[in-house]
Amino acid sequence: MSETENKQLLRRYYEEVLMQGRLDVLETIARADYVEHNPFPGHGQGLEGLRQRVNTLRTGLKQQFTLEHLIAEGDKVAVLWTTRGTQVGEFLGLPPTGKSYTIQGVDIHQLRDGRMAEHWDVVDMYGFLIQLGVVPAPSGAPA
Amino acid sequence: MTLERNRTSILRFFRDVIGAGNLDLLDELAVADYEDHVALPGQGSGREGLKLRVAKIRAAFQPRHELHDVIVEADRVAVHWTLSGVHSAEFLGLMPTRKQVEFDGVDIYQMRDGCMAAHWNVVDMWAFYRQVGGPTHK
Repeated sequence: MSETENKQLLRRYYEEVLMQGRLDVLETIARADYVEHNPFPGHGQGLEGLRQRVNTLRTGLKQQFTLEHLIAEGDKVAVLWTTRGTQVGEFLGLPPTGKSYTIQGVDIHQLRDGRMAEHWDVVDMYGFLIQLGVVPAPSGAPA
Repeated sequence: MTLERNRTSILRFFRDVIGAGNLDLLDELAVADYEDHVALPGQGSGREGLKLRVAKIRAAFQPRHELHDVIVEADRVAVHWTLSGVHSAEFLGLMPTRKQVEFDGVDIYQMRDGCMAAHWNVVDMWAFYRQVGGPTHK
């Protein structure tokens, strides 16, 4: 798979799976032995773990992703995204707040044989929790 | 090759500038009109602002960056790192706690002629705040 094809595959993950909720697509674009390096608490690994992750995200949060940067080299792709979302359900132990937020994150995807194989991420959880009103904004800064 | 030139510039930035404190090397590694999309408060513009940023981060954390990935495509570079250090000076309004900290971030650089020209990032500041004990939950 070329770097361009890898990027196209990942666009399907954000658009079809995360935003449209088509979990069946995961079987086509991710490997059965998918490895999540930053799992949510209590989540498993593999394709089933990834389904669980997407379910948790989609149940708790209604999100619109904008992919700002896709940078591919070999079988790795870095994706910097902005998401505009609302917490519509329980999410990682937080009761639904109904609040909206805009945050950024970066996913690092490792592909193998043209499918998603491993994942790491760094997400602005601090910004997320501030905007949900769960933690106070730093003094002097707008909430 | 442009890819390798871009990769080398970023590796030198982390090793020699952030790591060893050679701020003058930025005259070679960054363009004068360097644009930071995630500037620290008071950073100022351009390459001189970047020097201030690096000095501030070095003072605040005495950081060691472990680089997990350096991903280069055309004129953009993504760097996934873990910073380990000691919170030794004021940072984003938080007075030094002398606590050991460790958190992840990803920097994205736009390169021009092998030099750093623009910058975005996402850093796990929540991990930092939890490790230094503030701000606390409401």
